[in-house]
Amino acid sequence: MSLFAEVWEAVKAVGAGLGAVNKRISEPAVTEFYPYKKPEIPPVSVQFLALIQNEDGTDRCVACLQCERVCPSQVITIERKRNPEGKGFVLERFDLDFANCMHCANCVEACPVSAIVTVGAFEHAVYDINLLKADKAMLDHIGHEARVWYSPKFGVELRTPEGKIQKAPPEMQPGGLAELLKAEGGEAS
Amino acid sequence: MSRMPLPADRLVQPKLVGYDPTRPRPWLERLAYTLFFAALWAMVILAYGAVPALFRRFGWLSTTAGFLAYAVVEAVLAFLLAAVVALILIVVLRKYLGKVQERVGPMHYGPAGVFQTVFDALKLLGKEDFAPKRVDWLIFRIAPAIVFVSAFLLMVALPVAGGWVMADLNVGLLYIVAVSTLGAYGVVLGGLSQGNKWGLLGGFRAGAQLVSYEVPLALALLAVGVYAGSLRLSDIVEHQYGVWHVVPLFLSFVVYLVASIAELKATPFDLPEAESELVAGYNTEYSGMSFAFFFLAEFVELFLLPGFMVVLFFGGWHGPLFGLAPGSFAAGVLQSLYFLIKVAVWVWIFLWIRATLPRFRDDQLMDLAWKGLLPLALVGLLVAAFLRMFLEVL
Ligand code: SF4
Ligand code: SF4
Repeated sequence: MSLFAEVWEAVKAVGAGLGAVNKRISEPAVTEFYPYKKPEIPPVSVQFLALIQNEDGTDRCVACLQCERVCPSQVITIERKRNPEGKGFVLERFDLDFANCMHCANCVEACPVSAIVTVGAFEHAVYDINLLKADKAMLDHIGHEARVWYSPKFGVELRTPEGKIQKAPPEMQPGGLAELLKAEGGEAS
Repeated sequence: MSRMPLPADRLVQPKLVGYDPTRPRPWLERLAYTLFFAALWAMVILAYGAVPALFRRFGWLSTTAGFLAYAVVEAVLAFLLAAVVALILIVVLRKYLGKVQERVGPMHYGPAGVFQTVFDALKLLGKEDFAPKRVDWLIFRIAPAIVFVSAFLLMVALPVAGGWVMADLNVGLLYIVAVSTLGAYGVVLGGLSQGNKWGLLGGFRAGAQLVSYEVPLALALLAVGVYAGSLRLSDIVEHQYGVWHVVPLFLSFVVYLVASIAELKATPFDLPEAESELVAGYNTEYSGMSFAFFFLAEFVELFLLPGFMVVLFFGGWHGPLFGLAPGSFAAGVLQSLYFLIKVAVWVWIFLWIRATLPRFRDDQLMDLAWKGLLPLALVGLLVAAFLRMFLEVL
Protein backbone atom coordinates (compact mmCIF):
# COMPACT_ATOMS: atom_id res chain seq x y z
CA MET A 1 0.00 0.00 0.00
CA SER A 2 2.87 2.36 0.71
CA LEU A 3 3.66 2.57 -3.01
CA PHE A 4 0.16 3.78 -3.76
CA ALA A 5 0.35 6.21 -0.88
CA GLU A 6 3.60 7.56 -2.29
CA VAL A 7 2.14 7.91 -5.77
CA TRP A 8 -0.89 9.67 -4.33
CA GLU A 9 1.38 12.07 -2.41
CA ALA A 10 3.28 12.83 -5.61
CA VAL A 11 0.10 13.43 -7.58
CA LYS A 12 -1.19 15.73 -4.85
CA ALA A 13 2.09 17.67 -4.78
CA VAL A 14 2.15 18.13 -8.55
CA GLY A 15 -1.49 19.17 -8.49
CA ALA A 16 -0.80 21.77 -5.79
CA GLY A 17 2.05 23.13 -7.91
CA LEU A 18 -0.12 23.32 -11.00
CA GLY A 19 -2.80 25.13 -9.03
CA ALA A 20 -0.34 27.67 -7.68
CA VAL A 21 1.03 28.33 -11.16
CA ASN A 22 -2.44 28.81 -12.60
CA LYS A 23 -3.32 31.34 -9.91
CA ARG A 24 -0.34 33.50 -10.78
CA ILE A 25 -1.48 34.03 -14.37
CA SER A 26 -4.07 36.58 -13.30
CA GLU A 27 -1.66 38.54 -11.12
CA PRO A 28 -0.31 41.77 -12.61
CA ALA A 29 3.21 41.85 -14.01
CA VAL A 30 5.85 43.55 -11.91
CA THR A 31 7.88 44.58 -14.96
CA GLU A 32 9.35 48.10 -14.94
CA PHE A 33 8.85 49.70 -18.34
CA TYR A 34 12.00 51.70 -17.77
CA PRO A 35 12.84 53.72 -20.82
CA TYR A 36 9.18 54.25 -21.64
CA LYS A 37 8.02 55.08 -18.15
CA LYS A 38 10.60 56.87 -16.02
CA PRO A 39 10.64 55.66 -12.42
CA GLU A 40 9.99 58.05 -9.55
CA ILE A 41 13.31 58.70 -7.83
CA PRO A 42 13.04 59.51 -4.12
CA PRO A 43 14.24 63.02 -3.27
CA VAL A 44 17.15 61.70 -1.22
CA SER A 45 19.13 59.50 -3.56
CA VAL A 46 22.75 59.83 -4.58
CA GLN A 47 22.48 59.54 -8.35
CA PHE A 48 24.49 62.54 -9.43
CA LEU A 49 26.11 65.63 -7.98
CA ALA A 50 25.33 69.24 -8.83
CA LEU A 51 26.47 72.71 -7.83
CA ILE A 52 23.62 74.92 -6.74
CA GLN A 53 23.57 78.63 -7.54
CA ASN A 54 21.50 81.14 -5.63
CA GLU A 55 18.38 82.66 -7.14
CA ASP A 56 20.33 85.75 -8.19
CA GLY A 57 22.86 83.66 -10.11
CA THR A 58 25.75 83.87 -7.68
CA ASP A 59 27.56 80.76 -6.54
CA ARG A 60 26.60 79.25 -3.23
CA CYS A 61 30.06 77.74 -3.08
CA VAL A 62 32.46 79.75 -0.96
CA ALA A 63 35.54 77.87 -2.23
CA CYS A 64 36.42 76.49 1.17
CA LEU A 65 38.00 73.34 -0.34
CA GLN A 66 36.29 71.06 2.18
CA CYS A 67 34.87 68.84 -0.51
CA GLU A 68 38.19 68.59 -2.31
CA ARG A 69 39.88 67.57 0.94
CA VAL A 70 37.31 65.01 1.99
CA CYS A 71 36.84 63.28 -1.33
CA PRO A 72 38.19 59.70 -0.97
CA SER A 73 38.64 59.31 -4.71
CA GLN A 74 40.26 62.73 -5.05
CA VAL A 75 38.29 63.60 -8.11
CA ILE A 76 37.42 67.18 -7.18
CA THR A 77 39.83 69.87 -8.36
CA ILE A 78 39.24 73.45 -7.19
CA GLU A 79 41.22 76.56 -8.01
CA ARG A 80 40.30 79.74 -6.19
CA LYS A 81 41.45 83.30 -5.87
CA ARG A 82 40.90 86.04 -3.32
CA ASN A 83 37.70 87.93 -3.78
CA PRO A 84 38.79 91.35 -5.14
CA GLU A 85 35.61 93.05 -3.86
CA GLY A 86 35.51 91.76 -0.32
CA LYS A 87 36.58 88.98 1.93
CA GLY A 88 36.68 85.30 1.13
CA PHE A 89 37.44 83.53 -2.14
CA VAL A 90 35.85 83.07 -5.54
CA LEU A 91 36.04 79.96 -7.70
CA GLU A 92 38.23 79.93 -10.77
CA ARG A 93 37.79 76.30 -11.59
CA PHE A 94 35.67 73.46 -10.17
CA ASP A 95 36.23 70.12 -11.90
CA LEU A 96 34.66 66.81 -10.89
CA ASP A 97 35.56 63.57 -12.63
CA PHE A 98 32.38 61.49 -12.55
CA ALA A 99 34.21 58.59 -14.18
CA ASN A 100 36.08 58.00 -10.92
CA CYS A 101 33.58 59.38 -8.44
CA MET A 102 32.14 56.60 -6.30
CA HIS A 103 29.03 58.53 -5.33
CA CYS A 104 29.80 58.31 -1.62
CA ALA A 105 28.40 61.83 -1.05
CA ASN A 106 31.16 62.68 1.40
CA CYS A 107 31.56 65.99 -0.41
CA VAL A 108 27.88 66.74 0.14
CA GLU A 109 28.23 65.94 3.85
CA ALA A 110 31.28 68.15 4.14
CA CYS A 111 30.02 71.23 2.35
CA PRO A 112 29.28 73.97 4.94
CA VAL A 113 26.89 75.92 2.69
CA SER A 114 25.10 73.12 0.82
CA ALA A 115 26.58 74.20 -2.48
CA ILE A 116 27.33 70.72 -3.74
CA VAL A 117 24.23 68.51 -3.48
CA THR A 118 22.91 65.16 -4.62
CA VAL A 119 20.27 65.07 -7.34
CA GLY A 120 18.06 62.29 -8.66
CA ALA A 121 19.02 62.47 -12.35
CA PHE A 122 20.52 59.11 -13.21
CA GLU A 123 20.78 58.59 -16.98
CA HIS A 124 24.44 59.31 -17.56
CA ALA A 125 25.71 56.43 -19.62
CA VAL A 126 27.98 57.79 -22.36
CA TYR A 127 30.23 56.16 -24.92
CA ASP A 128 33.23 58.40 -24.30
CA ILE A 129 34.61 58.35 -20.78
CA ASN A 130 36.02 61.85 -21.23
CA LEU A 131 32.48 63.15 -21.40
CA LEU A 132 32.13 62.28 -17.72
CA LYS A 133 34.76 64.85 -16.70
CA ALA A 134 32.50 67.68 -15.62
CA ASP A 135 33.54 71.29 -15.20
CA LYS A 136 31.83 74.08 -13.28
CA ALA A 137 29.50 75.02 -16.14
CA MET A 138 28.36 71.41 -16.36
CA LEU A 139 27.76 71.09 -12.64
CA ASP A 140 25.91 74.42 -12.60
CA HIS A 141 23.79 73.23 -15.49
CA ILE A 142 22.84 70.03 -13.66
CA GLY A 143 21.96 72.18 -10.66
CA HIS A 144 19.72 74.39 -12.80
CA GLU A 145 18.02 71.40 -14.36
CA ALA A 146 17.33 69.81 -11.00
CA ARG A 147 13.87 70.31 -9.54
CA VAL A 148 14.68 68.73 -6.22
CA TRP A 149 17.94 68.05 -4.41
CA TYR A 150 19.28 67.11 -1.03
CA SER A 151 22.06 68.12 1.28
CA PRO A 152 22.33 67.21 4.98
CA LYS A 153 22.55 70.84 6.05
CA PHE A 154 19.42 72.23 4.35
CA GLY A 155 17.55 68.98 3.81
CA VAL A 156 15.51 68.53 0.64
CA GLU A 157 15.06 71.71 -1.36
CA LEU A 158 12.78 72.41 -4.29
CA ARG A 159 13.04 74.70 -7.28
CA THR A 160 9.61 76.09 -8.06
CA PRO A 161 8.56 76.63 -11.70
CA GLU A 162 9.26 80.37 -11.22
CA GLY A 163 12.87 79.62 -10.28
CA LYS A 164 12.53 80.22 -6.56
CA ILE A 165 14.37 77.89 -4.18
CA GLN A 166 12.27 76.59 -1.29
CA LYS A 167 12.61 74.12 1.49
CA ALA A 168 10.55 71.03 0.72
CA PRO A 169 7.52 70.15 2.87
CA PRO A 170 8.26 67.85 5.81
CA GLU A 171 6.82 64.73 4.21
CA MET A 172 9.53 64.95 1.53
CA GLN A 173 12.32 65.35 4.09
CA PRO A 174 14.30 62.28 5.18
CA GLY A 175 12.64 61.03 8.31
CA GLY A 176 10.17 63.90 8.04
CA LEU A 177 7.17 61.70 7.68
CA ALA A 178 8.17 59.67 10.73
CA GLU A 179 8.62 62.84 12.74
CA LEU A 180 5.26 64.15 11.60
CA LEU A 181 3.61 60.92 12.64
CA LYS A 182 5.41 60.98 15.97
CA ALA A 183 4.30 64.56 16.56
CA GLU A 184 0.72 63.62 15.77
CA GLY A 185 0.94 60.60 18.03
CA GLY A 186 2.41 62.83 20.76
CA GLU A 187 -0.50 65.25 20.49
CA ALA A 188 -2.99 62.45 20.58
CA SER A 189 -1.59 60.83 23.69
CA MET B 1 32.03 74.84 -21.33
CA SER B 2 31.58 71.18 -20.72
CA ARG B 3 32.24 68.54 -23.31
CA MET B 4 29.58 66.35 -21.74
CA PRO B 5 26.30 66.13 -23.66
CA LEU B 6 23.88 68.01 -21.52
CA PRO B 7 21.22 66.01 -19.70
CA ALA B 8 18.53 67.90 -21.59
CA ASP B 9 19.65 66.10 -24.77
CA ARG B 10 18.92 62.79 -23.16
CA LEU B 11 15.43 63.45 -21.94
CA VAL B 12 14.10 61.77 -25.09
CA GLN B 13 11.00 59.70 -24.47
CA PRO B 14 11.28 56.52 -26.58
CA LYS B 15 7.97 55.23 -27.84
CA LEU B 16 6.94 51.61 -27.70
CA VAL B 17 5.45 50.67 -31.05
CA GLY B 18 2.13 48.92 -30.74
CA TYR B 19 2.11 48.58 -26.99
CA ASP B 20 1.38 51.04 -24.27
CA PRO B 21 2.45 49.69 -20.87
CA THR B 22 0.12 52.08 -19.11
CA ARG B 23 -2.80 50.66 -21.07
CA PRO B 24 -2.58 46.87 -21.45
CA ARG B 25 -5.17 45.66 -23.92
CA PRO B 26 -6.02 42.04 -23.17
CA TRP B 27 -8.76 41.99 -25.80
CA LEU B 28 -6.21 42.79 -28.49
CA GLU B 29 -4.03 39.93 -27.32
CA ARG B 30 -7.00 37.58 -27.33
CA LEU B 31 -7.94 38.72 -30.82
CA ALA B 32 -4.39 38.13 -32.02
CA TYR B 33 -4.31 34.61 -30.61
CA THR B 34 -7.74 33.85 -32.05
CA LEU B 35 -6.44 34.98 -35.45
CA PHE B 36 -3.38 32.79 -34.96
CA PHE B 37 -5.62 29.83 -34.27
CA ALA B 38 -7.70 30.64 -37.34
CA ALA B 39 -4.55 30.85 -39.45
CA LEU B 40 -3.44 27.47 -38.15
CA TRP B 41 -6.85 26.02 -38.90
CA ALA B 42 -6.75 27.44 -42.42
CA MET B 43 -3.28 25.98 -42.97
CA VAL B 44 -4.44 22.58 -41.74
CA ILE B 45 -7.50 22.67 -44.01
CA LEU B 46 -5.32 23.66 -46.96
CA ALA B 47 -2.61 21.08 -46.38
CA TYR B 48 -4.72 18.11 -45.30
CA GLY B 49 -8.07 18.75 -46.95
CA ALA B 50 -8.29 21.27 -49.76
CA VAL B 51 -5.24 20.45 -51.86
CA PRO B 52 -5.75 16.63 -51.85
CA ALA B 53 -9.45 17.17 -52.59
CA LEU B 54 -8.51 19.44 -55.50
CA PHE B 55 -6.08 16.92 -56.98
CA ARG B 56 -8.59 14.12 -56.59
CA ARG B 57 -11.42 16.17 -58.05
CA PHE B 58 -9.56 16.79 -61.29
CA GLY B 59 -8.09 13.31 -61.40
CA TRP B 60 -4.53 14.57 -61.54
CA LEU B 61 -3.30 11.91 -59.17
CA SER B 62 -3.54 9.16 -61.81
CA THR B 63 -0.75 10.63 -63.95
CA THR B 64 2.88 10.47 -62.90
CA ALA B 65 3.43 14.19 -63.36
CA GLY B 66 0.30 14.94 -61.38
CA PHE B 67 1.39 12.71 -58.55
CA LEU B 68 4.85 14.30 -58.45
CA ALA B 69 3.31 17.77 -58.43
CA TYR B 70 1.01 16.63 -55.60
CA ALA B 71 3.95 15.33 -53.60
CA VAL B 72 5.91 18.56 -54.05
CA VAL B 73 2.95 20.78 -53.16
CA GLU B 74 2.14 18.69 -50.10
CA ALA B 75 5.74 18.78 -48.91
CA VAL B 76 5.84 22.56 -49.26
CA LEU B 77 2.52 22.89 -47.45
CA ALA B 78 3.65 20.60 -44.66
CA PHE B 79 6.79 22.69 -44.26
CA LEU B 80 4.72 25.88 -44.15
CA LEU B 81 2.42 24.29 -41.60
CA ALA B 82 5.42 23.32 -39.47
CA ALA B 83 6.73 26.88 -39.68
CA VAL B 84 3.35 28.37 -38.75
CA VAL B 85 2.99 25.96 -35.83
CA ALA B 86 6.45 26.83 -34.55
CA LEU B 87 5.96 30.57 -34.99
CA ILE B 88 2.71 30.47 -33.04
CA LEU B 89 3.82 28.09 -30.32
CA ILE B 90 7.06 29.94 -29.59
CA VAL B 91 5.31 33.21 -28.92
CA VAL B 92 2.54 31.44 -27.01
CA LEU B 93 5.10 29.69 -24.83
CA ARG B 94 6.98 32.91 -24.13
CA LYS B 95 3.84 34.85 -23.34
CA TYR B 96 2.51 32.07 -21.12
CA LEU B 97 5.75 31.70 -19.19
CA GLY B 98 5.84 35.48 -18.86
CA LYS B 99 2.36 35.57 -17.38
CA VAL B 100 3.17 32.75 -14.99
CA GLN B 101 6.36 34.45 -13.85
CA GLU B 102 4.58 37.82 -13.51
CA ARG B 103 6.44 39.39 -16.41
CA VAL B 104 4.91 40.62 -19.65
CA GLY B 105 6.94 38.52 -22.08
CA PRO B 106 7.65 39.81 -25.59
CA MET B 107 5.95 43.14 -26.19
CA HIS B 108 7.78 45.11 -28.85
CA TYR B 109 6.60 43.79 -32.21
CA GLY B 110 2.97 43.70 -33.13
CA PRO B 111 0.11 44.17 -30.69
CA ALA B 112 1.45 42.99 -27.34
CA GLY B 113 4.41 41.36 -29.05
CA VAL B 114 2.56 38.67 -30.98
CA PHE B 115 4.86 39.04 -34.01
CA GLN B 116 8.01 38.58 -31.97
CA THR B 117 8.82 35.18 -33.45
CA VAL B 118 8.57 36.48 -37.00
CA PHE B 119 11.31 38.95 -36.20
CA ASP B 120 13.27 36.27 -34.34
CA ALA B 121 13.12 34.09 -37.43
CA LEU B 122 14.30 36.99 -39.61
CA LYS B 123 17.15 37.59 -37.18
CA LEU B 124 18.19 33.95 -37.27
CA LEU B 125 18.02 33.98 -41.06
CA GLY B 126 20.32 36.95 -41.16
CA LYS B 127 22.91 35.48 -38.80
CA GLU B 128 26.06 33.76 -39.93
CA ASP B 129 25.76 30.00 -39.58
CA PHE B 130 29.08 29.54 -37.89
CA ALA B 131 30.85 26.20 -37.49
CA PRO B 132 33.70 26.22 -34.95
CA LYS B 133 37.09 24.81 -35.94
CA ARG B 134 36.96 21.60 -33.89
CA VAL B 135 33.61 20.30 -35.09
CA ASP B 136 33.09 17.15 -37.09
CA TRP B 137 31.81 19.14 -40.02
CA LEU B 138 29.60 16.63 -41.85
CA ILE B 139 27.81 15.35 -38.76
CA PHE B 140 27.55 18.84 -37.36
CA ARG B 141 25.72 19.94 -40.50
CA ILE B 142 23.53 16.86 -40.84
CA ALA B 143 22.30 16.74 -37.23
CA PRO B 144 19.83 19.67 -37.39
CA ALA B 145 18.44 18.28 -40.62
CA ILE B 146 17.87 14.87 -39.02
CA VAL B 147 16.12 16.42 -36.04
CA PHE B 148 13.91 18.61 -38.17
CA VAL B 149 13.09 15.98 -40.76
CA SER B 150 12.09 13.48 -38.09
CA ALA B 151 9.65 15.97 -36.57
CA PHE B 152 8.44 16.95 -40.02
CA LEU B 153 7.88 13.35 -41.17
CA LEU B 154 5.57 12.73 -38.22
CA MET B 155 3.24 15.33 -39.67
CA VAL B 156 2.55 13.06 -42.63
CA ALA B 157 0.87 10.42 -40.46
CA LEU B 158 -1.28 12.79 -38.40
CA PRO B 159 -4.98 12.25 -39.16
CA VAL B 160 -6.72 15.58 -38.58
CA ALA B 161 -10.19 14.61 -39.78
CA GLY B 162 -12.05 11.72 -41.34
CA GLY B 163 -10.01 10.81 -44.41
CA TRP B 164 -7.81 13.88 -44.03
CA VAL B 165 -4.32 12.50 -43.70
CA MET B 166 -1.36 12.82 -46.01
CA ALA B 167 -0.45 9.15 -45.81
CA ASP B 168 -2.84 6.72 -44.10
CA LEU B 169 -0.24 4.10 -43.27
CA ASN B 170 -1.41 0.66 -42.18
CA VAL B 171 1.57 0.60 -39.79
CA GLY B 172 1.00 4.13 -38.47
CA LEU B 173 1.95 3.37 -34.87
CA LEU B 174 5.21 1.70 -35.89
CA TYR B 175 5.91 4.66 -38.15
CA ILE B 176 5.51 7.06 -35.21
CA VAL B 177 7.90 5.04 -33.06
CA ALA B 178 10.46 4.68 -35.84
CA VAL B 179 10.47 8.29 -36.97
CA SER B 180 10.43 9.88 -33.52
CA THR B 181 13.38 7.70 -32.55
CA LEU B 182 15.21 9.08 -35.54
CA GLY B 183 15.06 12.49 -33.91
CA ALA B 184 17.10 11.20 -30.99
CA TYR B 185 19.92 10.41 -33.43
CA GLY B 186 20.01 14.00 -34.56
CA VAL B 187 20.20 15.30 -31.02
CA VAL B 188 22.92 12.86 -29.99
CA LEU B 189 24.98 13.42 -33.13
CA GLY B 190 24.60 17.17 -32.84
CA GLY B 191 25.84 17.04 -29.27
CA LEU B 192 28.77 14.74 -29.95
CA SER B 193 30.03 16.37 -33.14
CA GLN B 194 30.65 19.86 -31.86
CA GLY B 195 33.88 19.38 -29.90
CA ASN B 196 32.48 21.20 -26.90
CA LYS B 197 32.21 19.60 -23.49
CA TRP B 198 28.79 21.09 -22.77
CA GLY B 199 27.52 19.83 -26.08
CA LEU B 200 29.06 16.44 -25.41
CA LEU B 201 27.39 16.17 -22.00
CA GLY B 202 24.12 17.36 -23.48
CA GLY B 203 24.40 14.76 -26.21
CA PHE B 204 25.10 11.99 -23.69
CA ARG B 205 22.17 13.00 -21.56
CA ALA B 206 19.92 13.31 -24.57
CA GLY B 207 20.96 9.87 -25.73
CA ALA B 208 20.29 8.27 -22.36
CA GLN B 209 17.03 10.09 -21.84
CA LEU B 210 15.52 9.71 -25.28
CA VAL B 211 16.43 6.04 -25.57
CA SER B 212 14.99 5.26 -22.12
CA TYR B 213 11.77 7.10 -22.79
CA GLU B 214 11.24 5.60 -26.21
CA VAL B 215 10.65 2.22 -24.55
CA PRO B 216 7.64 3.14 -22.36
CA LEU B 217 6.35 5.36 -25.15
CA ALA B 218 6.45 2.49 -27.61
CA LEU B 219 4.76 0.18 -25.09
CA ALA B 220 2.00 2.73 -24.50
CA LEU B 221 1.46 2.99 -28.25
CA LEU B 222 1.46 -0.78 -28.47
CA ALA B 223 -1.27 -0.98 -25.82
CA VAL B 224 -3.42 1.31 -27.93
CA GLY B 225 -2.71 -0.81 -30.99
CA VAL B 226 -3.63 -4.00 -29.14
CA TYR B 227 -6.84 -2.54 -27.78
CA ALA B 228 -7.96 -1.02 -31.06
CA GLY B 229 -6.90 -4.08 -33.03
CA SER B 230 -5.14 -2.03 -35.69
CA LEU B 231 -1.96 -0.07 -36.19
CA ARG B 232 -3.64 2.28 -38.65
CA LEU B 233 -4.25 5.63 -36.96
CA SER B 234 -7.60 6.33 -38.62
CA ASP B 235 -8.84 2.88 -37.53
CA ILE B 236 -7.78 3.72 -33.99
CA VAL B 237 -9.79 6.94 -34.10
CA GLU B 238 -12.82 5.11 -35.53
CA HIS B 239 -12.52 2.56 -32.74
CA GLN B 240 -13.18 5.28 -30.16
CA TYR B 241 -16.78 6.00 -31.20
CA GLY B 242 -18.27 4.54 -28.02
CA VAL B 243 -15.78 5.66 -25.45
CA TRP B 244 -12.46 7.45 -25.72
CA HIS B 245 -9.43 5.28 -25.13
CA VAL B 246 -8.35 7.39 -22.19
CA VAL B 247 -10.93 5.64 -20.00
CA PRO B 248 -10.01 1.98 -20.54
CA LEU B 249 -6.31 2.69 -21.18
CA PHE B 250 -5.71 5.25 -18.44
CA LEU B 251 -2.38 3.70 -17.39
CA SER B 252 -1.04 3.82 -20.92
CA PHE B 253 -2.24 7.39 -21.22
CA VAL B 254 -0.28 8.43 -18.12
CA VAL B 255 2.80 6.69 -19.48
CA TYR B 256 2.36 8.39 -22.84
CA LEU B 257 1.95 11.79 -21.17
CA VAL B 258 5.13 11.51 -19.10
CA ALA B 259 7.17 9.92 -21.87
CA SER B 260 6.10 12.48 -24.44
CA ILE B 261 7.12 15.34 -22.15
CA ALA B 262 10.49 13.60 -21.87
CA GLU B 263 10.58 13.26 -25.66
CA LEU B 264 9.97 16.98 -25.94
CA LYS B 265 12.90 17.70 -23.64
CA ALA B 266 10.56 20.11 -21.83
CA THR B 267 11.19 21.33 -18.34
CA PRO B 268 10.87 18.49 -15.87
CA PHE B 269 13.04 16.52 -18.29
CA ASP B 270 15.13 19.23 -19.93
CA LEU B 271 18.47 17.75 -18.90
CA PRO B 272 19.91 17.68 -22.44
CA GLU B 273 19.72 21.46 -22.67
CA ALA B 274 19.78 22.47 -19.00
CA GLU B 275 20.73 26.13 -19.25
CA SER B 276 21.87 26.35 -15.66
CA GLU B 277 24.28 23.43 -15.94
CA LEU B 278 25.21 23.04 -19.61
CA VAL B 279 25.24 26.26 -21.59
CA ALA B 280 22.61 25.11 -24.02
CA GLY B 281 23.40 21.39 -24.04
CA TYR B 282 23.40 19.69 -27.39
CA ASN B 283 22.85 22.88 -29.39
CA THR B 284 25.52 25.01 -27.72
CA GLU B 285 27.61 25.61 -30.84
CA TYR B 286 24.78 26.00 -33.29
CA SER B 287 23.91 29.40 -34.65
CA GLY B 288 21.80 30.89 -37.37
CA MET B 289 19.51 28.58 -39.28
CA SER B 290 21.02 25.37 -37.87
CA PHE B 291 19.94 26.51 -34.44
CA ALA B 292 16.58 27.58 -35.86
CA PHE B 293 16.02 24.05 -37.15
CA PHE B 294 16.57 22.55 -33.70
CA PHE B 295 14.20 25.12 -32.30
CA LEU B 296 11.63 24.56 -35.03
CA ALA B 297 11.74 20.80 -34.51
CA GLU B 298 11.19 21.21 -30.78
CA PHE B 299 8.06 23.27 -31.28
CA VAL B 300 6.70 21.14 -34.12
CA GLU B 301 7.01 18.21 -31.72
CA LEU B 302 5.22 20.26 -29.09
CA PHE B 303 2.33 20.29 -31.57
CA LEU B 304 2.66 16.73 -32.82
CA LEU B 305 3.00 14.79 -29.56
CA PRO B 306 -0.22 16.28 -28.09
CA GLY B 307 -1.69 15.71 -31.56
CA PHE B 308 -0.93 12.01 -31.45
CA MET B 309 -2.13 11.92 -27.85
CA VAL B 310 -5.49 13.28 -29.01
CA VAL B 311 -5.56 10.77 -31.86
CA LEU B 312 -4.75 7.81 -29.65
CA PHE B 313 -6.59 8.61 -26.43
CA PHE B 314 -9.05 11.47 -26.92
CA GLY B 315 -11.07 10.43 -29.88
CA GLY B 316 -9.13 12.35 -32.51
CA TRP B 317 -11.52 14.40 -34.60
CA HIS B 318 -14.72 13.15 -32.95
CA GLY B 319 -17.35 15.73 -32.09
CA PRO B 320 -20.93 16.62 -32.93
CA LEU B 321 -21.31 17.00 -36.70
CA PHE B 322 -24.71 18.79 -36.78
CA GLY B 323 -26.09 16.64 -39.54
CA LEU B 324 -23.17 16.99 -41.94
CA ALA B 325 -22.44 13.81 -43.87
CA PRO B 326 -19.25 12.24 -42.47
CA GLY B 327 -16.62 12.20 -45.19
CA SER B 328 -17.85 15.39 -46.86
CA PHE B 329 -15.57 18.41 -47.09
CA ALA B 330 -17.64 20.51 -44.66
CA ALA B 331 -17.59 17.69 -42.11
CA GLY B 332 -13.81 17.51 -42.52
CA VAL B 333 -13.50 21.24 -41.82
CA LEU B 334 -15.55 20.91 -38.64
CA GLN B 335 -13.71 17.77 -37.54
CA SER B 336 -10.34 19.40 -38.02
CA LEU B 337 -11.58 22.24 -35.79
CA TYR B 338 -12.48 19.74 -33.06
CA PHE B 339 -9.12 18.12 -33.46
CA LEU B 340 -7.25 21.42 -33.24
CA ILE B 341 -9.19 22.51 -30.16
CA LYS B 342 -8.35 19.27 -28.38
CA VAL B 343 -4.70 19.66 -29.39
CA ALA B 344 -4.68 23.27 -28.20
CA VAL B 345 -6.00 22.23 -24.79
CA TRP B 346 -3.27 19.60 -24.53
CA VAL B 347 -0.57 21.99 -25.68
CA TRP B 348 -1.72 24.33 -22.93
CA ILE B 349 -1.48 21.52 -20.37
CA PHE B 350 2.01 20.68 -21.61
CA LEU B 351 3.04 24.32 -21.22
CA TRP B 352 1.41 24.39 -17.79
CA ILE B 353 3.44 21.38 -16.67
CA ARG B 354 6.52 22.98 -18.17
CA ALA B 355 5.92 26.16 -16.19
CA THR B 356 5.38 24.29 -12.93
CA LEU B 357 7.84 21.51 -12.34
CA PRO B 358 11.54 21.82 -11.54
CA ARG B 359 14.16 19.77 -13.36
CA PHE B 360 14.84 16.13 -12.54
CA ARG B 361 18.29 14.91 -11.59
CA ASP B 362 19.92 12.50 -14.01
CA ASP B 363 19.60 9.39 -11.83
CA GLN B 364 16.01 10.25 -10.85
CA LEU B 365 15.22 10.49 -14.54
CA MET B 366 16.57 7.01 -15.19
CA ASP B 367 14.81 5.71 -12.07
CA LEU B 368 11.51 7.05 -13.27
CA ALA B 369 11.93 5.65 -16.76
CA TRP B 370 13.08 2.14 -15.91
CA LYS B 371 11.58 1.49 -12.49
CA GLY B 372 8.40 3.51 -12.77
CA LEU B 373 7.21 3.94 -16.31
CA LEU B 374 8.37 0.68 -17.81
CA PRO B 375 6.45 -1.58 -15.36
CA LEU B 376 3.50 0.78 -15.61
CA ALA B 377 3.58 0.54 -19.40
CA LEU B 378 3.75 -3.26 -19.21
CA VAL B 379 0.77 -3.33 -16.85
CA GLY B 380 -1.03 -1.02 -19.24
CA LEU B 381 -0.26 -3.39 -22.08
CA LEU B 382 -1.65 -6.31 -20.05
CA VAL B 383 -4.79 -4.35 -19.25
CA ALA B 384 -5.24 -3.50 -22.91
CA ALA B 385 -4.78 -7.12 -23.93
CA PHE B 386 -7.32 -8.39 -21.37
CA LEU B 387 -9.84 -5.73 -22.26
CA ARG B 388 -9.45 -6.62 -25.92
CA MET B 389 -9.99 -10.27 -25.05
CA PHE B 390 -13.20 -9.48 -23.19
CA LEU B 391 -14.39 -7.32 -26.07
CA GLU B 392 -13.81 -10.20 -28.48
CA VAL B 393 -15.66 -12.61 -26.20
CA LEU B 394 -18.67 -10.34 -25.72
S1 SF4 C 1 30.66 61.66 -4.07
FE1 SF4 C 1 32.45 60.95 -2.97
S2 SF4 C 1 33.84 60.35 -4.60
FE2 SF4 C 1 32.28 61.60 -5.56
S3 SF4 C 1 33.13 63.63 -5.60
FE3 SF4 C 1 31.91 63.46 -3.72
S4 SF4 C 1 33.36 62.81 -2.15
FE4 SF4 C 1 34.34 62.46 -4.13
S1 SF4 D 1 32.69 72.22 0.31
FE1 SF4 D 1 31.00 73.33 -0.67
S2 SF4 D 1 31.54 75.48 -0.38
FE2 SF4 D 1 33.41 74.33 0.01
S3 SF4 D 1 34.46 74.29 -1.94
FE3 SF4 D 1 33.23 72.42 -1.86
S4 SF4 D 1 31.29 72.98 -2.82
FE4 SF4 D 1 32.34 74.89 -2.38
